[in-house]
Amino acid sequence: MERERSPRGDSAFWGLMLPMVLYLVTWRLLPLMYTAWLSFTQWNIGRISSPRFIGFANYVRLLSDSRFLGGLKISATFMIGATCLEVMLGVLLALLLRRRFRGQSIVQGILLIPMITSPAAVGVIWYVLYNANIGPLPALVRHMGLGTPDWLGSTTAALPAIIFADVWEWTPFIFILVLSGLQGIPEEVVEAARIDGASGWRIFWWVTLPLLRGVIIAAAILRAMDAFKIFDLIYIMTGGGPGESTESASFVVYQMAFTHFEFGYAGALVIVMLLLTTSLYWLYSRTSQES
Amino acid sequence: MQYSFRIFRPFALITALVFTLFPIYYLVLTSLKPAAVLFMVPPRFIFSPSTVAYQQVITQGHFRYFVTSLLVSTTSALLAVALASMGAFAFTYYRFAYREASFFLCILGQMFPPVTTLVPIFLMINYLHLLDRPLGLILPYVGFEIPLVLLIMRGFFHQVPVELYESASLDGAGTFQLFARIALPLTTPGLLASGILAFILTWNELLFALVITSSRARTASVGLASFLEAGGSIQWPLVAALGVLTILPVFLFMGALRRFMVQGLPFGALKG
Repeated sequence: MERERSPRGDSAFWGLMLPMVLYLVTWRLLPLMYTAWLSFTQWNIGRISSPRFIGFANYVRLLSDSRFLGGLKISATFMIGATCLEVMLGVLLALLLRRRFRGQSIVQGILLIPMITSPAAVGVIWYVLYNANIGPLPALVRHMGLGTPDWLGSTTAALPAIIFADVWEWTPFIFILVLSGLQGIPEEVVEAARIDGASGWRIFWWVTLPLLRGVIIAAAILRAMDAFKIFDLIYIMTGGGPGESTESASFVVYQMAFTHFEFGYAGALVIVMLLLTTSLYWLYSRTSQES
Repeated sequence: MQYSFRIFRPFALITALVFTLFPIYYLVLTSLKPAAVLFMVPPRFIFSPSTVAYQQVITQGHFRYFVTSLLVSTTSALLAVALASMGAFAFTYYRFAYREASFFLCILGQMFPPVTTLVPIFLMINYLHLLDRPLGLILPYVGFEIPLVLLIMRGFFHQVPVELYESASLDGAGTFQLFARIALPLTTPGLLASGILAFILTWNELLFALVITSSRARTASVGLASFLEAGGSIQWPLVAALGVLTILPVFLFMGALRRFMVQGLPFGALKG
């Protein structure tokens, strides 16, 4: 496409472009800027009628807010645990489906189902599977004579249990990205290694994996950015409990804003989370430039 | 190694398929369990199914969550496809200063998670008196979907040969006609794929729906969440039936989407 036209003197350009741009400005950009402004104000709906500028006080406050810091820690734990498991399983799955076979497209379609399943439904599904009264998993454990576990009701097991549900939901995401990366590797490269006498594992470790490095890192970081914001599964499965053991940072933001109605402070928490995920994105763009 | 892998592969594939399907299968099973079988230990897998839960969905008026979700997701997807395909066309048809930079700005929304705008959008919707109304969800949802559709449609418009535009404009077609008569018909698969993805994105959305709707305009996800909050007295088959119905429409789109998914469409976009 070299002979494109200049928009100068063509009113159609604005007719095509403006509706979308104005929409994005109204519903994305201005709200984001308003959140940034709110983060420098104190505004408790009910107690203070309009936002009052207080400078960096919200940011100072969050530095010693054990609930939010705890939330960040839980989000980070969730992010690392879920991303690591999903990358390992996703890469394994991609390798399994690399060579074509009959019925591949159906198998592939089925494997992608969890990813498009509504997170609320995923939460319900695993809530049922984990439930001590009707779930098959506790029944299985009980059958082995290990007592009846109540994972979602335990401060130590609840987070891993939610991570496991997330692994079910999002492994397909890694799988499909890595698979398309794998299919981009020219056959000749692998053939050449085989002719040189390399065994399967060696080919995987020294040829395939290095070629896939960029794709795997990119997929992992995209997934990590998303996992860091985890809210829906937690809201459905534990509501942040038991105690505060599954209160992710997003969950704390939600509560600050819509249970305590501290809009200004919630704004500051959101901005801090945004900065943290943006730094992850920065990492991503650096690695994708390398490869 | 080659030999062991040959045995390992079908075994691992079957494990993966079972792991993927069993949770959904169990949800369907739970939704069909009659009260007498529900709490049996060990859990029953064979019983005569009961459709009581699905009848309850209708008779107790829970079906309206799905009607609301359908209305909200369809309308917002259509609006997003309309706005973003016009924009995407302008981004490919014209050449102008800072084109790449401004395109990047437009899709930046993909990186800024929606939660960053939650409070201001709540205030805007409240100001417009649209809380707990479908329109109150449609307005922000279109904003979430535009970057996704824009990204996909730009790729599709890039594949339209410029010669087609040139010969049509020699015949006297204006830019809008080039868009409507040439670009759109040639990119129908893209419009469909991005529309379906936009639909799924909002059909699955929970956070904004939770904040903006409360009773009248509850979406499927919010309805589902509200039934688990009941605590000890959860009506399991009903909750499971609602879950099945929540998944169903997305399943129906699965076949249409499979082709695009294999091409590695930017699916990270799905979670906003």
